[in-house]
Amino acid sequence: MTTPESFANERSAAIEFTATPWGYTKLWLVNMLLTLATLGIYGAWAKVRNNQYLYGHTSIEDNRLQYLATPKQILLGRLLALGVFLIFVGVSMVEPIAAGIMYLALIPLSPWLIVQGLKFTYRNTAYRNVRFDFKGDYMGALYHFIVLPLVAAVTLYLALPWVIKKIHQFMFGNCEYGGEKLQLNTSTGQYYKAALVVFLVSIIAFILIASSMAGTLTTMQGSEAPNPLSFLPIILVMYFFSFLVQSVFNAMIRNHIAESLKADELVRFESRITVAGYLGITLLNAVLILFTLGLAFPAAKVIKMRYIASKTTVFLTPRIDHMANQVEGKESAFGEEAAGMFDTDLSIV
Amino acid sequence: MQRITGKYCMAGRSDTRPAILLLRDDGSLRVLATDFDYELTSTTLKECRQGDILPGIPVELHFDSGDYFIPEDPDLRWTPRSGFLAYLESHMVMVLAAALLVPLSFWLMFTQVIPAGAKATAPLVPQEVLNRVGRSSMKTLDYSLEPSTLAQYEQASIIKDWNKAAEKAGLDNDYRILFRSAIAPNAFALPDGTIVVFDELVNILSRDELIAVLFHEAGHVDRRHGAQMMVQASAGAIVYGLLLGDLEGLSEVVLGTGISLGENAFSRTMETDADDFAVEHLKAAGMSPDLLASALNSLPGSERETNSWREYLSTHPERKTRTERIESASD
Ligand SMILES: [Zn+2]
Repeated sequence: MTTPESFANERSAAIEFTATPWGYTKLWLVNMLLTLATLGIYGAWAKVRNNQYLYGHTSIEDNRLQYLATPKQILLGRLLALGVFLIFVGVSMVEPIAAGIMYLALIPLSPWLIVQGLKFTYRNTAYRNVRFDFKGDYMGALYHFIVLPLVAAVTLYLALPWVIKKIHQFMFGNCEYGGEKLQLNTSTGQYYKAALVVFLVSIIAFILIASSMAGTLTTMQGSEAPNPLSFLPIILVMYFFSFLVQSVFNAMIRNHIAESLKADELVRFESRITVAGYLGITLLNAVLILFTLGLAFPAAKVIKMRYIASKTTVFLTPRIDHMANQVEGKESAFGEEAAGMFDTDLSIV
Repeated sequence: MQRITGKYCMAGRSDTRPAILLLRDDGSLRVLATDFDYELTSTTLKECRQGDILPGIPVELHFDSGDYFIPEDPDLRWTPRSGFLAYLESHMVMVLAAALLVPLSFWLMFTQVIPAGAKATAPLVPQEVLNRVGRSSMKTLDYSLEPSTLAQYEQASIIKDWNKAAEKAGLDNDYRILFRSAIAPNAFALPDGTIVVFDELVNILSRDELIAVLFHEAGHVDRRHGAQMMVQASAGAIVYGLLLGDLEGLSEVVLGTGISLGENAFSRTMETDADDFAVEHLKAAGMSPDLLASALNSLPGSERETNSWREYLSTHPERKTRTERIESASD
């Protein structure tokens, strides 16, 4: 592990996350009901309030994070995205070939959408009145989200860890706070290390699942109708391993990102997420969501955020007390809403 | 006079001052810096804008200058009647109602409202659109299907028998029967009136049973089930995108499963619709409706026992239910 250099006059601060699973569940449920009652229109307000709650309950040195997007911005972006989405659905049903051409046209358009979406999200996030900003441009997004994934595919995914590293650098390294650019000095080696661990865990999982599969199949011989329930243990094992793999990768990479992210003489981070802890949270959330048929989604979100916050430390220098805001948050929410509509959220970490 | 402790934040700057806000009963207020005891601002409550009220988060008081004051106390309210949303969001009755109504509304939305809407709007889809959909899906399907190996004269005789039966049943016959080959015995209908029959089905059914299946497929076309599915799919996608766009991970999987169960329920009603259509026209053609039941029973796996939960997972009603329904109609 690379130990980040500390700044001379830094002070450390915990991330205090005061949202409660039940508190957020109440807010989320009522907002969902209002959204249903208004045929989706209130959804824009619901999104703002949900984010205001989660951001507002996250504080560093007694200063709460701020979510500054307005419902009107989101509603407008959402309607625009919905219009485009409807055209796509309509065309792809009537004329699959024309739809194919439209999807091809979407490829050069998608870097623009990604940049718009990231700009919207970053600029509407503020700490101590100073908004974040995203400085990535169209060509950068084209390279990182179109060209590099192709490179990964061509190299039979051998280059994938490096590609993920580059994408993370694009997303975090283009972040600015009050005119100060953040730097993400991640090392390719750490990504390959994480990928190797994931690979080994997957091999073990594959052997275990394949052998138990063979067992189930032999016991089933003779009975004509296989009872799908007999596959349940295998499905559970498969889920367990997919969570395990996710947890290994997330824990290793999140810690590495946190330790490699800094703005010179302003801020750096430390993260102490453990594979066991992350896995525990993931399993707990999975059980909660399954047994409530999805209703525990907000609670699960809070539980996960609380865990990550509790394992992260921020180091700040006194410069943080005198930063000036450099950006406005007036742009369209179209990019972000289109990403949600076409389900291409950038939830890579 | 109220003394409210908190923090004074400057517009567009990260600088903050610990401060005390002195609020008089007439609504005039002064904010003093605690550390040096000088005045930061003075105004009246009327000229200030209050921030959004969220549970557990102090409510900001914004001044004209863009600066604002954050009280320490998260429960402090600047005006007596404020925070209707926060009230709803923390009121037990409302929350319980939401916990019951949200899943219920989703269920109704995907099993009742959208299907009913689809049924009502399906006739509005222009025939020209359906013809295009039929043509282009046939083109796509032909990539995965093999040409039929049935002899020309056999194909012709099936079509002849079908035309005769359809005419007898008084059916407006602009159906186009195509023969293809695949792994499983099956037949399907496209919204433009094309009915595709697999060789494998022709081989295991008697000629009359085959006609019964064709009536069933014609029922799908006649009742515009293709258009219904199109409307349903787009409406479902919109509702999903608007209401559940922020879900992620497992919740998305769980809800997605729930929704597809609801959609399966809808396609099961389309199957019974088509069965009813077939029974009615078989009778009109002077044929026995039992033919459809026996055709169903000749499909492989017909000895399977019935499981009601399995019915929910499948797009087709359990065969036993269908045959019972058809047999009761034939009396
Ligand atoms: Zn059918």
